[in-house]
Amino acid sequence: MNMVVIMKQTFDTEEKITIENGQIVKDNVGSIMNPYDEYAVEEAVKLKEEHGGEVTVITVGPPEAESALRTALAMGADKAVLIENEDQPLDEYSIAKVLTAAINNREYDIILGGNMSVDNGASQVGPRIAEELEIPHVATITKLEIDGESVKAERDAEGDVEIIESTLPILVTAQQGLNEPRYPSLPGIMKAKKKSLERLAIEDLNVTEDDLQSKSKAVDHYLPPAKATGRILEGGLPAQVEELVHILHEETKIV
Amino acid sequence: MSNLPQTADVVIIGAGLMGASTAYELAKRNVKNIVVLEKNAIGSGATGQSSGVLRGHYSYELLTRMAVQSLETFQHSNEILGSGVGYQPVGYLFGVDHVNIENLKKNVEMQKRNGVNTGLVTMDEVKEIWPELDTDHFGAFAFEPQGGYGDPVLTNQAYADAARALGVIIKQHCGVKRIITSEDGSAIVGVETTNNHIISTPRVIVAAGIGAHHLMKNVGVNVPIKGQRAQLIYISPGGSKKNVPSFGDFMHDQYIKPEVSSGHLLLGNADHADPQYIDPADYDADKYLKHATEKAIEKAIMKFINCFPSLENAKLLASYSAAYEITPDGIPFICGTPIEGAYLCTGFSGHGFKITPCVGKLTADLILEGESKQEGIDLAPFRLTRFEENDLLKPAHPYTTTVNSHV
Repeated sequence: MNMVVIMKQTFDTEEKITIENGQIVKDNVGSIMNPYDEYAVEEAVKLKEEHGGEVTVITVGPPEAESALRTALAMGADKAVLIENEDQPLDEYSIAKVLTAAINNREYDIILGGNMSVDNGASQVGPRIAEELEIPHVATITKLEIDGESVKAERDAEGDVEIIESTLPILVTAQQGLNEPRYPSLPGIMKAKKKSLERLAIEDLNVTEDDLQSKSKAVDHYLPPAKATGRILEGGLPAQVEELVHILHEETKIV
Repeated sequence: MSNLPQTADVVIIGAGLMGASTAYELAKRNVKNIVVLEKNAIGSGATGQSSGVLRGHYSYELLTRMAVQSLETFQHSNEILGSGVGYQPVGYLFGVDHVNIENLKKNVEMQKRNGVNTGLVTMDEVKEIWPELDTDHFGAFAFEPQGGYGDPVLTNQAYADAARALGVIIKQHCGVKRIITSEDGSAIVGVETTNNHIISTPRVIVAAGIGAHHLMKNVGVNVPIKGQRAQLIYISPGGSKKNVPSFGDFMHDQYIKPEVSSGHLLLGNADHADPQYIDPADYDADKYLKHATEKAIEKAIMKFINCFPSLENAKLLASYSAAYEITPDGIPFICGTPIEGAYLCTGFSGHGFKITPCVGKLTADLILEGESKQEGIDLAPFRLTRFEENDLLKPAHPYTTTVNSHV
């Protein structure tokens, strides 16, 4: 069984993010593998351990995105493909077109990805690729079982669990809880540096000018507003309720 | 800012280990009206990023004496400071290559003479201490059973609590905008906080780490310190569950600190051949790389694999970068300045934690007596003018393996 994992390098959201002129300042900020993609890589490596086959990880990004691919290789992926793109502004539509072109000529039984990237949070690339490839997809899965050609997945559905049955080939996107991504071993990290990494330019792929035209553009980036200080109401219960009602009516005008 | 006084007998800038221990020692000697101003939180600077290794092993006799005197406080912190400081006597192992065997022997003799419980150990004894350590390429080892590590943040808090109990005011999230001198610039008259509160005081102790640079520059004193990045990785070693010691590996230029509760190891680079400096202005503006580079991580992994080849299941858990202040000779400043009433207690260059208790006493001596009252510990090597006077502290038997050999 062959697994393809679509992944992305993002900035480390645990670091302090600053925005200047509507753009995120990337200097001095660390880059990591998108955390949701870690679940996808882990699941693919587990499938390989169970069913055999090969795991290929693919990303579209700047040359530095190699380090995220190397992390996936250290976790147990076999091959990596870096579609280099520094200048071309791509959105989910065009990235899906590029990735589809890269996946199309490869053998795959299952494509895995994170359910979203922590930087843009669009959750679109995976399902768009499935549509392009005309294969089924299940998003935000928390459990995956494959038996022969049949696939059984569980997904988060507003607090409930949806159980979906389908068949290979399929695309799934991973939600937190799907598994516990492994820490790469030290020898694994060193071996990953020597594993094959294929570098492609977008021009190498079968995509048209139209495919690369973004359908959306980012108008602005801004940080969430700073939280205001909380307020603790005092007095007996009736007095607190009265004050709360007063605040809701008069100050916040919510009610 | 109503709880900050208008006047103080002493203002200490920085509530890290050095500021807190100095405040405590001064208060213990009946100095009243001590105010400590901290721009972030207690222990949030270099203290909070310290690995916390405790050792008596130095090639500098003076620093060895300071470490020996300080160890007592780590061992008996409950009696002395009133709370625990996370002291873990897992031992301290020190290994060198063949070139440095004689230096090691001489230094161990010197350390013993100064009261360090230490001695050379054979390769077989090392195998007992740390079974997975490949001793093959090492020249010799020394071991201190009372070494190990402590918790810098707990130690900082213990000093802060003890100081407060003696009446010291520690104001957190209150930085110092400027030190104020008399009109002719010759003496201290006060400090102005970042929220524009002025405290009149005749004495200021700058224990602000890298921040000392701009604070003193503004009053015309050049303090030659800058920031340096230390890149560290956390690993889960796998292998046996045995407690292992802190380890100074001067064969590969790395240090390893175990964590007893998790069994994880912290790996730091002791190779200062390619230092990554941070300009003090960038440090103040929070503009520097906060994570370890891939190159540094790879280097740390290779060093570990070379040392522990059998630990094939060791896993990389995390990596980070700390920043500490460094002086040109790796020796701190505990001294007065050309400005009357302005003192420095900074520049600990990544090895301050283990000598903290002694530094607090020395700084209190400096302020109250004008000289050291600690037996065998001279303050002269810590003066600011040592560079222009070309009179630097030199160990008798320095190790040849580190470029910046402040060990």
